[in-house]
Amino acid sequence: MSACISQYVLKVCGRCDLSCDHCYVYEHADQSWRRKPKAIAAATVAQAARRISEHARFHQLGQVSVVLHGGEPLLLGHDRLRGVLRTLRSLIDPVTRLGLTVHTNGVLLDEGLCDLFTEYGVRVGVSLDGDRTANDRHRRFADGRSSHAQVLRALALLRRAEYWHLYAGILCTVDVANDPIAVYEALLAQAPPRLDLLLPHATWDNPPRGLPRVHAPYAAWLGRIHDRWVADGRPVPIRFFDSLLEAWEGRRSGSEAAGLDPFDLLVIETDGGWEQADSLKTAYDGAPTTGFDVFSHSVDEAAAHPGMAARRAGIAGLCRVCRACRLVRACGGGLYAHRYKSGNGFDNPSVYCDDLKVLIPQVTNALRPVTTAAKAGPASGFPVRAGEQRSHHALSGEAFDLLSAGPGDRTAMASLADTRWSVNRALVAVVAARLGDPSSALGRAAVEGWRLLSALEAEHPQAVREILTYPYVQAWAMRCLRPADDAVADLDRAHLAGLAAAAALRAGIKAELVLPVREGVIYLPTIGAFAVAAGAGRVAPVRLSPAGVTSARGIQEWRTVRRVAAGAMSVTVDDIDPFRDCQAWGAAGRLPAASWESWRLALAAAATRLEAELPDYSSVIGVGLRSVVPIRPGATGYRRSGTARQAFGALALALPDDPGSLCELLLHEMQHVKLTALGDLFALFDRADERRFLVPWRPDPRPIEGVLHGTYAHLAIAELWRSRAMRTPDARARDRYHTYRSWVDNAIETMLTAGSLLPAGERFVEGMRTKVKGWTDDW
Amino acid sequence: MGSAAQLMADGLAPYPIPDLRDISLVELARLAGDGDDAIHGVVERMVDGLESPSVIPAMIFNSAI
Repeated sequence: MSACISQYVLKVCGRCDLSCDHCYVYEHADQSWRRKPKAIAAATVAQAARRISEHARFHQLGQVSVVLHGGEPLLLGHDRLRGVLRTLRSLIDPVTRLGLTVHTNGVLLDEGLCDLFTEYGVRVGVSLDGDRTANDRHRRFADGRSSHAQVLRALALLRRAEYWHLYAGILCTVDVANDPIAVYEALLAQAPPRLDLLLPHATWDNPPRGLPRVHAPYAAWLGRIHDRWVADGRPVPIRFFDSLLEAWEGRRSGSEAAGLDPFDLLVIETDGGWEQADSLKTAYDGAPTTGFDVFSHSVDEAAAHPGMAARRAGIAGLCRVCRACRLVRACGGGLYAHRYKSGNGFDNPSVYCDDLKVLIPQVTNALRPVTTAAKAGPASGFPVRAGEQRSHHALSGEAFDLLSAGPGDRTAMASLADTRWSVNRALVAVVAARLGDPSSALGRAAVEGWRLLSALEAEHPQAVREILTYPYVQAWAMRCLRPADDAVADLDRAHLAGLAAAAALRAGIKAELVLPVREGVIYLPTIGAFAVAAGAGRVAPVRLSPAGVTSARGIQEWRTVRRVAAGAMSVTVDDIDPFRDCQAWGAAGRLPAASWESWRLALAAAATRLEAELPDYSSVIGVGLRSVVPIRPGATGYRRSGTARQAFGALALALPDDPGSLCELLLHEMQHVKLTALGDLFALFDRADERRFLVPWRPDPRPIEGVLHGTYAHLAIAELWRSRAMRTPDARARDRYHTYRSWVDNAIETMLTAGSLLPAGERFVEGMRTKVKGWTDDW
Repeated sequence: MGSAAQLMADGLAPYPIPDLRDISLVELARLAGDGDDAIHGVVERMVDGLESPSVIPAMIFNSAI
């Protein structure tokens, strides 16, 4: 499938009224501006808009962004700008949500233009390099006059109440000759809603200007601003810093200057040509050119240009040095254009690599604004001091390597579980923070449930932990935070009361609570559920005590959450929890007594057998597996099982026809549980890599994540059959072992040559390879 | 458990998941309501799949932000 492009830069004017000597459009390697029209024609705008809307319609894009750019877009004049905006709105708005921005030097901005931008919903970004000294260093008129006063006038206009909604922010190009704090303070004085600090475009052929005897001068310069910004409490978003941090933390960076996210932007030049990002103009003459234009080529055709594809390759598109760097997920190799060197193109680190290596740790290690926090439990009252560094979860390198070798160990599994405990606490806290004022019975139930739950924590922390670490709590919380249906959002949030009631029952205390009624049933997670009389309404009061639960509406059809304890394993077999249906396969309903007996016996036998055959894996399952969800069986002979990222500690399966294969299913799915949790701690692979790879165990090519998961799961199965083959002279066991081992070997080589693994992922896969190589098979 | 610094030295660079076990639920909710970066960062990454802006070229601001 072709790439989706949601962002467009529309060059409405090919000339500029300033003559900035650092301008990448006019002063760098690409001089194509000389060969292009000074202004875009109306017909070109219309055709571009048609291309954008047809692409958006075909790919069902919910929104696209168009930035009016140049040169200086305001040179087009009020009337022609109105024509451009009218055309864009009329042709694109009916198809998809259109976001419009104009980026300007500000010199020509006036009230008339601000009114025009208000009319058409266009936000305004302005370039300013700092105070007058800094700005005048580069941003002058051709006759040498300063532009500073005009830019400040434009920014003052945007700060006016009637135009504040237009103010997008300020872009500042870094010059290390300027005083960084003076620049920072001058920019802040313009009260921008956001800032960006841009490394000046440079390449290995034309490196950036440095400072004598200063290593990594740009890191030093930006670092001073970063320190001051953090000390000031981060008064304004600074995109460069925020994007490095977000990429580091595993989120979308939202910037081409950081992270490995795919790049989806096309430029439309004044002659209608489709071009790649402007920044490429710094590399060589013609660098952004695609050879396509809006009159003859669709967006899809332009997006398929090799240069565009190279910007979507993620880590696989980086040079060897970058791929091996532990910081790569933050910088993503740096801005693409900054990697250029004549002779080998873009297959290099950034010319700012040394600066990024210094700056990234500074940004990612900076103190977060931690407010005072009371510790949980009876010994509360030891607040974290303001500004104190909050600790983070970490897994030792040794534990990481143990996990990569297959089973891990109990300590490593407990570490993963502890991490998920913190994650669940964060999720529940955000759900609670968003409860707001309760205006409905369900809303009041949620609020009261939260009060009881948080009060219980002080006196009965273990009971609360038992409930809030239950696998489906995360699935519930995520559904609350992303409600698919507003009609059930209130009902879902009220589940907080059910969690509190379950915690109270576990703690053995007395309490009265109003609980939500979900399709006639009240749920007590990990404990059970009961039906209420018809007409009970959306909520029902219950009384909780050490003896159990009673309800004035009566308790009918009580169903207990069943358990199996055998070998090292003690799990619920949960056919009740309303949020258990989060795996790929549909959850089964309540198991009839006969089915439950089959399940109980099969699980107990499998757990006992696993403990005997693979004690290391078994002991880890004992620590990490909390729940098994029965799912509806598939066609005879087909095994169904699965796990879900949002249900750590749970797996779903249909009881196999052959009970003996239940060991394999438990092992297989538990590998997924562990690897999913590990993947939330470490960046193992490039999530933006869209390629698919052939694997031996299924006919359809798999994404890198699927290859990694499948390999890890089959590593455990291979080890299971190896242990069986070693104990008994069983040809079938040997055959199975060799099959699974060959699958693992094959997939490991695929991953190690794919170029999609990040450094931690490579270490993980090497760990698997080392394990398999150690199987000498001399039996 | 290892420290983040030790992991970095090992060549592993973990995502920062804050240890929230010793902060009360009440306080966590208050921090969340105040927009605590660490809490919301973890939640955002877990929830995943939220619509997020495409990569933004360095030289412009996207109106979606």
